[in-house]
Amino acid sequence: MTRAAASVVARVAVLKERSAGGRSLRLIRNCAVNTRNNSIFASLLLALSLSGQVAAHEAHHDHVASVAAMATAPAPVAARFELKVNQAQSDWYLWREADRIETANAAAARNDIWQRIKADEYTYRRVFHQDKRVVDYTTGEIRTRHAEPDWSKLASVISPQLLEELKRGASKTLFGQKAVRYTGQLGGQRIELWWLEQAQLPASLQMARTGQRMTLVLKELRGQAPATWPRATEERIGDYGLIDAADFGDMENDPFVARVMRQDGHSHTH
Amino acid sequence: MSLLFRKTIVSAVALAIAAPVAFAAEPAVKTPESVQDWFNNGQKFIEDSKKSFPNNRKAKNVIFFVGDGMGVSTLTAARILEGQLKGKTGEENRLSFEHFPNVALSKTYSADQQTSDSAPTMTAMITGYKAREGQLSVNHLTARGECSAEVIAAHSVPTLLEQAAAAGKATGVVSTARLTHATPAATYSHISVRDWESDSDQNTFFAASVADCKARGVPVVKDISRQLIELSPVVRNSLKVAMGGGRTYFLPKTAFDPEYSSTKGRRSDGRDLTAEWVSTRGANAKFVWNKAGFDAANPATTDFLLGLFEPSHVQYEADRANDKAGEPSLTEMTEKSINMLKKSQNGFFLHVEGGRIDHAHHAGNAQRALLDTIELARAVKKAVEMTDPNDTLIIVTADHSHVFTIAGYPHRGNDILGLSKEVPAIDGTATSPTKAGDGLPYTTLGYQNGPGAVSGARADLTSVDTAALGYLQQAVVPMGSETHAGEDVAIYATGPKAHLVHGSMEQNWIYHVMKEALGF
Repeated sequence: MTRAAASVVARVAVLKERSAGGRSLRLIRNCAVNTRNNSIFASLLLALSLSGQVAAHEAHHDHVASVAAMATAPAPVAARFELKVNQAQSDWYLWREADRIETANAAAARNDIWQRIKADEYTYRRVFHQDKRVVDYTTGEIRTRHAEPDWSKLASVISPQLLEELKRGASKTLFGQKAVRYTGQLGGQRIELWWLEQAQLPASLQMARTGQRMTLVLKELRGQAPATWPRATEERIGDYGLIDAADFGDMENDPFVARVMRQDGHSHTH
Repeated sequence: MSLLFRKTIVSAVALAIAAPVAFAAEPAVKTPESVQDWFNNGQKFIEDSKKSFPNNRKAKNVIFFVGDGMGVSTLTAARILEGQLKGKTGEENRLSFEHFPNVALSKTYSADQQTSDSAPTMTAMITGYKAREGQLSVNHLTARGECSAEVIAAHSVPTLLEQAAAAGKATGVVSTARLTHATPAATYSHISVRDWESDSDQNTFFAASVADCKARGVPVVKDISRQLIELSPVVRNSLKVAMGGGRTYFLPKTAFDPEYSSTKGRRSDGRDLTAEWVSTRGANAKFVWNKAGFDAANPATTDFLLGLFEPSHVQYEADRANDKAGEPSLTEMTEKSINMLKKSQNGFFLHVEGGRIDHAHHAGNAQRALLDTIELARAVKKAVEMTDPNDTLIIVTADHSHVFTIAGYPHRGNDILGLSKEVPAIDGTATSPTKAGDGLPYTTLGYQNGPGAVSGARADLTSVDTAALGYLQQAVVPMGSETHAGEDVAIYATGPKAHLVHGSMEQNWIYHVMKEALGF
């Protein structure tokens, strides 16, 4: 996968994060984004992100209920997506369990792991394989950064608020279950989504504007992931350097931390 | 009657009629003091000051409090918040240590930094020498990443804790950060890289330097947690109590944390340093990791107490009540430490750090920083209550400041966590949020940089709960972590030789005051 494609995978994660938890969450998860190479689709994705931001903002502060279609807790799954940005193609993985959600961006060599301890108590781990570093966010740190996620939204890649803004259409069977087509125009972009209602995941998502196209296509949906999928197992990351995110401010000299902090240095709106 | 006289009469009548309307309206902002209160309070200050005299006695005990990142703006805001939490307007309130008789300003630059991190600043305060960025209790000629144990030993400068131990005093270290974090670690360890808190960290930070030492067969300096356990015999016997966070730095990678079942230790050498604390310090040594264990540790029967209450830093004071296993507050740790150390006939040296003020500021979360500052003030109050001012020097200061500001022209009693509201231009008018140049309201508290940075247009805060615990104040420069600031910080002192704290001081002079007080 090219760096540009990797960047967009990260942006998709960002999109999910915005819908899940607002800008603070985006802020701490955005470090894999290659800002130079993703500029092509930044505007394409930005509009979509912004469209979700209002809803995300409300959810962030008021924890409004998810839409009815996503009201039930999604079943544990392992999913492999193919992300294509123009000609660049890459894989993106999701492992969804009751209280644990892990994603992997193979090209960026990144994993992100959320764990739910109990209601409104989460931990978050960012794994940087190329750097052999792990950054841990404790429950207290997540609260302090105002970065609590909405778990139901975190688990479904596409926010329910986005679904509500699109027009529901025909249905068909994909991956052995009902898939519903959603379409619409948001921020000048044409969006086409095939939504798996049972899995509560996109079967495919297409966003396009003149001369630009991004597609996210579900390639495999399993109850249990093959061992070859790039999960951040203890065996794999046991020797990685471990950093408490609370220490970032005191580690400005460490090149890795300095880079992550630069990339995290995004704005928020209130 | 002349025209001029008639005009004067008319004007006077008009003024007499108009005046009650213009000036009789109640001010929107009420002042709790009477007019005389201002003068009387000033006179009382003078009378009290006349009665004060320098305490030239030798100090039996020294308690050294450091609020990590507790700059003057943090003190002011915390003082107001504490007062407002008591139902007062807030500004007239004083944090416990603001009653101390002696105050000075501390210049916090380090040997190589205009704006410093906690390592050289604490080194300055605890050894008397300014040092380099990221280095603990070694002199400023030490190379970055120096891994040789022999070279570090040659460059080490003695700490006040070590000198107190050599003088036969009991010693203690308490922090809400990890015990191996820069500020507490500078009291007992000597190292060129503050991040070498466990042996695993030596494979992560300046790893090439460590690898080079190993390749050359040069013994590598011990990691910080190991240094705490393997203190020299004199210091080991002296250090009666060490409490804070950082449990995983003392546990092997094969061991699970007792509080969080999925968390493991960090040590690659397979050693359980918590067990070694107990096994190397006699029958009355204890290791505790939760509130129940802490409460059960009886100072009268416990000679050596190691308390590690979280895998990393302990909870912010705002979150402590929600901790799974329960943990003591900074005040409770301070109280227990003093009770243990008071058993020493020769007196004691205790260092207490409010370590999470800094972390909350780095996250751009003012309220948590202020609540931890208030908790530090409570711990100081407890220490004052438990000791004799005739024989105990207590110093409270900060290692550095943060880019944290109190902005605008908010009226007296305005919610310190709220939107800035000025005194209305016309009495009788209600207060309302002051608008900035973009026509939008702004909070009184804010940061120059950090996660709260705004790009493009600011959001309208009118309906935002800026007093919510998770609210991040707006900032100017976008940074993943808010930064330290380089202005001076305050030093407060009471007790023997406290009068030596005065004027504008280099930060390392604080050590010299404590040393003088102890008579070393």
